[in-house]
Amino acid sequence: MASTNYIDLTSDQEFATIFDAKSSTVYALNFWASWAPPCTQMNQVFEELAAKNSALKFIKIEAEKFPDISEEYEIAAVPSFVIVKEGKVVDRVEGANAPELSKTIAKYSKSNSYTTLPAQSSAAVGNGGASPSVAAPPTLSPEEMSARLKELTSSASVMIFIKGTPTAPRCQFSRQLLEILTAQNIRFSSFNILADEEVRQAMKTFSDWPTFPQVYVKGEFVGGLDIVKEMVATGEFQALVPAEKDLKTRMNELIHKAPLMIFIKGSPETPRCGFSK
Amino acid sequence: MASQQEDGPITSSIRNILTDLLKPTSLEIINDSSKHAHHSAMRGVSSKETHFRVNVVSEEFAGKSTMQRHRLIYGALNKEFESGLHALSLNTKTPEEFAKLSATSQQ
Repeated sequence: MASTNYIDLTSDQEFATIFDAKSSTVYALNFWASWAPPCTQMNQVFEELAAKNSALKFIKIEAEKFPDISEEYEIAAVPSFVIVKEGKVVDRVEGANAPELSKTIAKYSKSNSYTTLPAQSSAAVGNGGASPSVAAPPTLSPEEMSARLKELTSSASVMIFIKGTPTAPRCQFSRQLLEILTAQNIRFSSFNILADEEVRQAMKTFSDWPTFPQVYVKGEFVGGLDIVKEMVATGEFQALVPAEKDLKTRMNELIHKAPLMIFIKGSPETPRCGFSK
Repeated sequence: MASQQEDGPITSSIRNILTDLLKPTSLEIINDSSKHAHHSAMRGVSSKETHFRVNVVSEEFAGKSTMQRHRLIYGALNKEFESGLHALSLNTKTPEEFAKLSATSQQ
């Protein structure tokens, strides 16, 4: 059972034979390099995790020996760990972060039970936003799925369904959408459709839209990247989204409103204090 | 520039379907698939017709919102989406909108 779940890759062909995109096995890939000291420790951690998690397949890949595979998984630095399920990247851990890696592996070690990733929330400008965990049992009936999607799409004023996460988008279209929203200072919540194949497929039917990213505003489907781009250009999108101006922003806008701004008590015509006058 | 050299099956489908549907005054289909071929999502996919950009100008779009235009196209290409088409970037304009754009843009 457990003996062959750890592989130190020796060739590209070996990868092609081990890796079965159709199987439901979860693969943990470790991209490392001999010249990066943090990898030594993480390699050990990786090996230990393999011993403890027999349901997953652990593949150790020396990044520079396998540039094609590294490029395929968009490895920018080592060590990097990629979790692949059913041919799709569902998670990543970048850097020598042993607790993070253990936590991530543990997530996928619950074989068969599809613990759906919670909707990840992110505010555009630094304000943290905790999001409600939306867990779901595997295989919902069509009605249950529809209800779940309704809940999900209305869970935030602006709800986006993307490939990857706001900090690690996995597709240039999703990335562009994130850049636009951030530039417009729009607060949003996001859902990573790569982490939940069921929701991914169901959303295509629910939105009657075959591609991602998908954007919902106040529970209504607004469109994909092209449409949002246009709407932002015409100002339509900003008008649609509730003004999320917190105090800091309002103050910031105010003080920049004119070359010289004075904050007085009263108005220029009717000053209400001796000093302002 | 429309790539007429080797219209693969999906490209021709897109071309034929959209021409029929929209009787466009201009239809440009750009195959961006090679830019995405190395992505992990594309592993095992041998098709060279997965990601496209389509720029289309047609009177059919008059009176329709961008969303409606996109849905119109996506709906017509349902089968293609089930046969390997993975992403489609759309730019849809009426002849009037297009003329206005060309006039105002610095070419």
